[in-house]
Amino acid sequence: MRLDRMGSMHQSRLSFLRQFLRRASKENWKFNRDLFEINANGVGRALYRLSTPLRDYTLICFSHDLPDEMRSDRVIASAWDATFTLYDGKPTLDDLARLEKHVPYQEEGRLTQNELCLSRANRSVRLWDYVLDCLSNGNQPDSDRVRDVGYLMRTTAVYGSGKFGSADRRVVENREEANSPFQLEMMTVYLIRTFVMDLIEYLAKIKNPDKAVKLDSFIRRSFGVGNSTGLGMAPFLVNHPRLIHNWFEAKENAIATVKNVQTATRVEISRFLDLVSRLKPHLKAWQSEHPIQIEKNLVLGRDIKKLESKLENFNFDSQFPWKLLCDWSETELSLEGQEMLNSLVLEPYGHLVDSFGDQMSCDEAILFPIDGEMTISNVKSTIEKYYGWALKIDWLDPSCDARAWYTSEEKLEPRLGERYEMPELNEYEQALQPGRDVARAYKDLCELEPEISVANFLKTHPEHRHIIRRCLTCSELPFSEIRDNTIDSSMLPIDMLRAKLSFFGACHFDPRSDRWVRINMFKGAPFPNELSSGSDPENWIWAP
Amino acid sequence: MRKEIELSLNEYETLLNKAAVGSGLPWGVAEDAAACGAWFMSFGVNELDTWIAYLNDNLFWIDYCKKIDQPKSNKLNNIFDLAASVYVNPDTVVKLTSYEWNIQGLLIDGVKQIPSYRACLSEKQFKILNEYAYKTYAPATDESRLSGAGAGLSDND
Repeated sequence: MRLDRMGSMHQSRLSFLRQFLRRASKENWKFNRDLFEINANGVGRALYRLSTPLRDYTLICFSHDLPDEMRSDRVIASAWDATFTLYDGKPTLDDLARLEKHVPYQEEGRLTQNELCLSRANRSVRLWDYVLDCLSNGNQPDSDRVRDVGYLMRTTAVYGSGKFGSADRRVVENREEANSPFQLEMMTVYLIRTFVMDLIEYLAKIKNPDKAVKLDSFIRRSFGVGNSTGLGMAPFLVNHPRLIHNWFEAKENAIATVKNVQTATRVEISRFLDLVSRLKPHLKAWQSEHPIQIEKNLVLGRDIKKLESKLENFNFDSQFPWKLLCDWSETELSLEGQEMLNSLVLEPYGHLVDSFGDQMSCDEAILFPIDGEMTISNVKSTIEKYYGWALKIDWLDPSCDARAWYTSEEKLEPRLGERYEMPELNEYEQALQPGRDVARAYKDLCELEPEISVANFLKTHPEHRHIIRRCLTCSELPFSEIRDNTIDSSMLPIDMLRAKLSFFGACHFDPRSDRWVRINMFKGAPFPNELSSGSDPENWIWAP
Repeated sequence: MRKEIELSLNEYETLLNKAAVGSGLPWGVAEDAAACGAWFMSFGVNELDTWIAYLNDNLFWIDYCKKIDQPKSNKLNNIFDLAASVYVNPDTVVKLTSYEWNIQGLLIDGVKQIPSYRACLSEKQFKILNEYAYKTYAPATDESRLSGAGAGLSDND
């Protein structure tokens, strides 16, 4: 795994929101809006329930009247346009009264084991008032303007897995619908999207009861949910090596399976070509002001043309056609283009690849044990074999350890600092630089007799315990480690964010800086009522 | 009535990990100390005050880690040693005064303990753990606020 490729990944059939929609459709989950009590100022509460064959989940929404000057996407914000929690079952009025005292305060509140996720969202300044005005005056919003933003609200955090008192992951992990990673978080975001669309139509009606109209169903679908993401996602990738390995391995196995398809059927080819025809409109809607993404999108535009041109003369009757195409892309397309193709070729082959999605979760509850009887000679060999890239870096060069990952006392916001400009950060540095730490441990290992046991080494060098455990863990899992320097002066955290977000199923990545990115989720996807009345859960992807 | 704070078990383990780092334990040692504390809590072993007291004793935790790494040479003296043994080898059967670990899980005075994924601690314990954890957070400065998260001056849209 290299950062530049991770920073070029796209959503695929295995992405978590795709898995969520697939299951919801297959199991015919039922949808109900159990409550919608919102006043003319947009303040109130609403309940959106999804019923699986075995149980109910309810999104509890609190809608607020937020002054414009308080709107901020950062963790350090203290108020939002809307706040949410996903409740395990059907909440009682007492539950609502209890949660109303906590959910609007987000990190400052406390949840119980009945709550599964905590989230909040802010209105898009670019689009909210405009769409509200259009609808209240009886007009539909301009589809180009909607396309360029893509959402009416964007979430600024979706917390799960036991955060702030909510249910521990182990409470739900054995439920089929929650076993794959982030399924309940996907459910939360999906229901938020529905609430947001209901809210704006409702407020338009309040504003002008005689003239207001609802959104045209086509335009309505073109709204996803935005998400604004800072550095918090980057440490996750480093802190969960066993889980991350499973994600990347599943996708690699899926790609390998499709490359191994000897002959493609007409239906499969036609499905692929249909998706290729969506790429140009999709790219047109992919707006970004960030120079890195502007350049990447320019190159991707050229890649799409190259792909179209290649396909004009491509003989799909060849043996192993997808392997031929993917091999061609490796020399002819940029990483963006290669990764786009890697996602596209999976689409006609759900029957072969979707089951890899079942292998993407991981029991991380138990720490990886260290075999203390192992000699340090063995550890050194492991490091040389799997971390050769880290040993080649000149760690005395200030550009190679230029950054420090830390947590600020300000609402525990994750941050990245320039070590040599803010030397005080060294004291607060987190263990998010495996490359440097493994090189330090290796240096100390080299100074000792090779037959010394690891247990004795770690007794005299406890400062290396985390990295020795990591080396031994990752050496068995080829996709567990980012084989790049995570504290280099040129490192782009957005590459890590993009990889994780692509596994979520996000699109339209729009970096705001090297460590902050906006994205869109569920753009073009059927709404719950459409899904339960038979809409295709798959064929909305690569929407413009 | 004594006030209690309730956390999910993984939230509690994260807090213990931060507290252990904040007390001066190396990262990897803190991971094992936190896992030990979470293990106690999940089985209803009320040893949090002892765990907190040991935060000021790095050598205790370094020795504890050595026991985990070499379980065969682990002599059981206390419940922490028992935790170190079963943590590495859950299939083992070990006995220590009123504690026994076997295929059923943990028995205290012969009573099987049902694992829980919640952690209940007193306000005082919660406060102490947070005071240690707080030492891992960098002070808020304008420079950090402006540059560290990469959101720039405006993160609104």
